[in-house]
Amino acid sequence: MRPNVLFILVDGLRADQCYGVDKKSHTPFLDSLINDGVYFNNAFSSVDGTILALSTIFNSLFPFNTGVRERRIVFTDNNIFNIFQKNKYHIFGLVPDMEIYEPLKKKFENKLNSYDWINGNESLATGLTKKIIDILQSNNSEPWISYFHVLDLHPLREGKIPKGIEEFESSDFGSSSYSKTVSSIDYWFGKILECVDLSNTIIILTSDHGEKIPYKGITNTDMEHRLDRTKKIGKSILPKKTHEKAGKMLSKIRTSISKPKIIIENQELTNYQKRSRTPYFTLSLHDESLHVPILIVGKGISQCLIKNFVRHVDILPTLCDILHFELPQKINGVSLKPLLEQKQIQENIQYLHTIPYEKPHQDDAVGIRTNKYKYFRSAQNPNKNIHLYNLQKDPHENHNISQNNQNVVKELEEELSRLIKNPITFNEEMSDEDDKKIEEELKKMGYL
Amino acid sequence: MKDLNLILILIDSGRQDYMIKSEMIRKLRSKFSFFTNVITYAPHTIASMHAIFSGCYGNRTGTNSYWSTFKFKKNKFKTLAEYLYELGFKTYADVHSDIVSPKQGFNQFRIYDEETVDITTRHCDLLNEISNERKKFFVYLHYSKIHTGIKNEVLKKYSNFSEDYYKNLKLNEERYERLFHESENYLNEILETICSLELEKNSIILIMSDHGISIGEKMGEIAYGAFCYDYTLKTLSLIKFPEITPIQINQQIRSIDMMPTILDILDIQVDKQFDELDGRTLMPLILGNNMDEEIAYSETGNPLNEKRPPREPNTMSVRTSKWKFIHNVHNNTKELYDLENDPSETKNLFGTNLDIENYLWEKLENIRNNF
Repeated sequence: MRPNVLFILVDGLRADQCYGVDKKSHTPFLDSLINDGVYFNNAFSSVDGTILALSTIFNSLFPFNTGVRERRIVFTDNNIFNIFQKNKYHIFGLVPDMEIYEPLKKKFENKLNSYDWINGNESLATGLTKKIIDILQSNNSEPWISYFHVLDLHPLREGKIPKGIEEFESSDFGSSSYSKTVSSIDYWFGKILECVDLSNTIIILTSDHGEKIPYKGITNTDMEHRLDRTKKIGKSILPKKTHEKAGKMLSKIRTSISKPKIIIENQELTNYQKRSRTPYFTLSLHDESLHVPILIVGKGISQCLIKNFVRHVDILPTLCDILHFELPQKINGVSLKPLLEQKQIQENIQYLHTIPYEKPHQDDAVGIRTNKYKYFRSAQNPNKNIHLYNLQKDPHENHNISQNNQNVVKELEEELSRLIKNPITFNEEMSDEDDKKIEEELKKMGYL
Repeated sequence: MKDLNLILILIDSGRQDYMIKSEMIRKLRSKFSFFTNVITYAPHTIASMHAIFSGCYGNRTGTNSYWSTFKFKKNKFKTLAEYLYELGFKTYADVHSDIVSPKQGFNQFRIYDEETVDITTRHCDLLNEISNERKKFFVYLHYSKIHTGIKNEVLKKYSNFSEDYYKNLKLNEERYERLFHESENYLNEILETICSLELEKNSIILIMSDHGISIGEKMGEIAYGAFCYDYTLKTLSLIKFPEITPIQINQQIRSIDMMPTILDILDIQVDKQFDELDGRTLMPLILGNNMDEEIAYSETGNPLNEKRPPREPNTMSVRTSKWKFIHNVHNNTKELYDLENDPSETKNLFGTNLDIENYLWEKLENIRNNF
C-alpha cells in the first residue's frame, strides 16, 4: 500500500526555533517527530520570500529558472503535483486566499481549498485546524498528497500579535511573540496529527523562508517618533489629494528625527542583532531569512539527524526517490535519500535571490551559498553591495570579509555566472482550463 | 528616463499598401518618423502582438501560434508594459480579446465586445480619462473593426479554398477599402482627441498594424495566418515624440524593433536579468543615420484543410529587402522569391541554383533553432 503524503509548510518558520541550542519555543510534539524521523538541521531556502520559495520547492528549480520577478507561483510540467498525479495520487490542500496561490489551488481536488488570511483571521487556533482536519478526514481517495500552508507567524510581520496565542503567553513557551507562536503551532499540529494514520503516511514539514526575531523585542520602527498629533492635524487641514505627498514628507521627518536615536540605541549591537531590528519586509539573504527546517517522518523513514548542507530544491527528488517514482529530469535538486541511508553525497551549491518587490529595488540581491561561504551582491550590478561571509567562523554573518578576500569573491562570482548562464529550459504548464479559454476566444474571434 | 507618456494605436489587419496610399496617413508624414516597410513576426494578431510587446520572436518566447498566449515565458521575457509599469507608469490596454497580447504589466486590461462596441468613442473617452491622471501613462488602443468585418463577411462565409472568394477580387477589394476607410476615420478622431488634450507635447505616439490581410491574392488564404507572403507580412509604423524631425524610412525593419526603440526613446536600460532581445533600437534611423538591414524572420501555422489553426507553426520565412525564402514544413517544400522584380511572389525561384538560396536557408535554420 503506497503511503499518503502530508506536506505542511509553515510560512516564516525559522530552523533554530525547531531544533538546536537557540531554540526558545516549547514544541514537544515537533520534538517527538524529530526523534522519530529525519531532520535536516542545515537546510536553506534560495529566497527570503514565499512566491519564489514555493516555485523552487514545487519544481526543484532555482528562481532564475522559474523567474525572479514572478508574482504568482510558477508550475513547470515537472512540478511535484503533476508527478504525484502521474503516479495516481489524489491531491488535496488548503492555502491562504491570496492571488499568488491561484495556480496552486487549481491542483487541489477539494473545493474548499483556501482560508481567510487577512489580519490572521483564520489561524490554527481560530478555525484553520478544523478545516485541515475536515479535509484529511474526507480524503477517502487514497493514496493522496495534501499540502497545507500555515500563515500563523505572518501577522508578526505586520507588527501584530497572531490570534489565539493567549494560552501561550507564559514564558514557558518562549521569550518572544515569535517563539510563543511557534509553541502554539506545535500544539495545534498535535491535534491535527491525531487524525492521521501515521503508519501509512509520510509527513514533510518545512518553511518557505526564515524570519527576523527582533533583538530584545525592539524594532527600529518602535524607536521612531510617531508624530501622530502632527499627522492628525495635517489630515484635518490639508486637502485630500495632498495626503500622499504629505505622508511621504512626514515619513522623511520621522526617519530624520529617529535615525540618530536608533544609531545610539543599536551602537553596541552586532550586525546580526541590528539586522533583526530592521522592518520585516527588508530584503535579506542572510541566514536568519533563509535557514529553514526540513523534516521527513513516517512510513519507512528511520530516525536520523542530518547535518549536511541541503536545499529546498532537494525536497522533490528526495520524495520521488523515497516513493520510488521516476526521478524528474531538468531539475536543480538532487535526491537526499543516500543520506537517509547513512551514505554520503557530494555537496551542492545553493543559488540565492531576494524576493521581488513590485518594482526593481536597489536592495535586490543575488548570490550563492556553500557550506563554508555566503556570497551575494546587487542583482543589477555585480560590483555593488558585495558581501562575503565565512559561515563556519561567523555563522551570524557579522563580518563582511569581501574586501580582504577578493579571490574568493571572484571565484564565487564565476560560479554564480556559470549557474545563471546555463538556465534550464522547460515548458510552462498550460492547464486544460487555459486551453478551453483559448478555444472559446478563438471561436469568438472567428478562427475556429 | 525621459518624462513622456506612450500612446500605442494598433490598427489590426492594416495592410501596408493601403496605409501608404491613405490620404490620412499621408498627412501624418510631416510630423512622424514613417517606417514604410515593417515586417511582422507573425501574420496573425496573437503571436504578432506578443512579439511586438517583448521585442522577441515567438519561437523564443513561447507564443508562436494562435494557441500559445499562456505559453509566453514570463520569467525570461519582459514586456514593454512591464518595463513601464515598474517605472511608475499607469498602464492601460483596451482590446477585443483576453488573449491577443501579454497582460502582464497592465494596471488595467480592458476588453470590449468587438461586435457592439463604438471603438472611437470608447478610446476617446479613455484618453480623456487618462489625461486627468497625474501619473505618466502607457495606453494601448487596439482597433479591431477591420478584423470584425472580415470575420463576419469572409471567415464565416468562405473557407481558405472557396473558389467563390477568389473569383470576385473586386468585391474583396471594395470590402477591404470600406473597412480600411473606417479605420482612417477612427485614427483621425483619436489623433484629434490627442491633440485637443495636448498630449502630443509630452507623449510618444506610435501607430502601427500587426499584420496585413489577403484580398484573394493566393488560393489557400482568404484572410491571414496561412502563408508568409508579403500582403500579410508587410506592415507600417509611424512614431512621433517631442522634438522629432520627421523622416521617411523605406529600409526593411521588423515589428520586434519597435519595443527596443521605445525603450531607447525613453532612456530605459534593457533589463539584463531577462533573456536578450531579438529586436534592436531604430533610433539611428530616426536620427537620419544608417543601419545595416537585419533579416526578418516570420512564421505561422497553415491550417491547410482543417478548420482550426495548428498549435505549432508549420510555415516559416526569412526576408531581406530583396529576397524571401519560405519553408513549408507541412509538406517540406521551399520557395524563393526575388522581391524587387516579383513583389507579388508569383515566380518560385527555389532550385534554380541561386547562391542566395543556401544563404537564406542557413539563416532560417539559425533563427528557427534559436530557442
